[in-house]
Amino acid sequence: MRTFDAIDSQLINLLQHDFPLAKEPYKELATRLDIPEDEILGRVRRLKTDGVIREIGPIFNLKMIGLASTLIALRVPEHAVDRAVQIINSYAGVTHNYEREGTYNIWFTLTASSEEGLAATLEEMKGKIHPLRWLVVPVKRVLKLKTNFTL
Amino acid sequence: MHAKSNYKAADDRIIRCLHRGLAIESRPFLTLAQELGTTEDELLEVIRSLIANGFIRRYGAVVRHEKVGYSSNVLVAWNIPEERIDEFEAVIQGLTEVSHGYERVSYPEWRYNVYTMIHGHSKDECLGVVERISSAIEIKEYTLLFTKREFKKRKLDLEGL
Repeated sequence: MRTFDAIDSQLINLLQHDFPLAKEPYKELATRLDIPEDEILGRVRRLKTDGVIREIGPIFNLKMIGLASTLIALRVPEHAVDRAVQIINSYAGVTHNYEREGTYNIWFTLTASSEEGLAATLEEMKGKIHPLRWLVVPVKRVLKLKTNFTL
Repeated sequence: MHAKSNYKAADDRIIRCLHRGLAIESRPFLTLAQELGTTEDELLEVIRSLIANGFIRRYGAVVRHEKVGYSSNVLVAWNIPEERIDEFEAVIQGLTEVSHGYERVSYPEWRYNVYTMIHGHSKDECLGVVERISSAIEIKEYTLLFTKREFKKRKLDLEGL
């Protein structure tokens, strides 16, 4: 892991928790950190190039914007993992897909433009994969969602 | 900003445009506003209202946690009695190491109904947090779903849906 100087750390925190919704957001950050706007832009660009910042933008509440999503866990035999992963990853609505320890060895998330679309895609996937076990575990309630990290 | 009759269509266009993210330039909202045929001020007002109404949870940088020191994480599935979920929620709210907490559908063959994503600087640190939650709530029925391989992790492709 790389280390950050004090300005980078403050900048990363501000960019996550307190991004200015203003015409010139980086200029406002420059004022707050008392360094020139050009330097702020340079630092943010570098953080993005280095992959520290994935993106600056809105984190949508998917349900509120009309999308349907769920987590799915499945069990496939070891020899069928690669094929299953290939099928799962081919869907645009799959954002996360992991091999995990435990009874269910593959866990992925699927988002679709409607509940009906979600159900239809799941049926299609299940038909292609033929998993030994298949568990659809949609969210009933969000207890906590805090994806920003303080440095 | 738009007539109620085409509210959904207008909203979709704004959402798709905002979803592409903000450029790292002096006036980043200008490009987006021009594309939407509006002004920066109006666009900023729309973003504020989307936040106020819960469509946007937060507007800002998404950081790759592994790049800022949180090199280890574990997904934990818990079996928490329905009537104790509020208590569980209060425990995880107080822990900065927990980024996500969800109550999810459970089944007779998989009784775990609550999931938490825990981040730490090491595996031991993650396990320490699990232990702290377990002691605080006095529930030992949980399972650790450590990642063995990451097959896909990317931003949602709205255009592809």
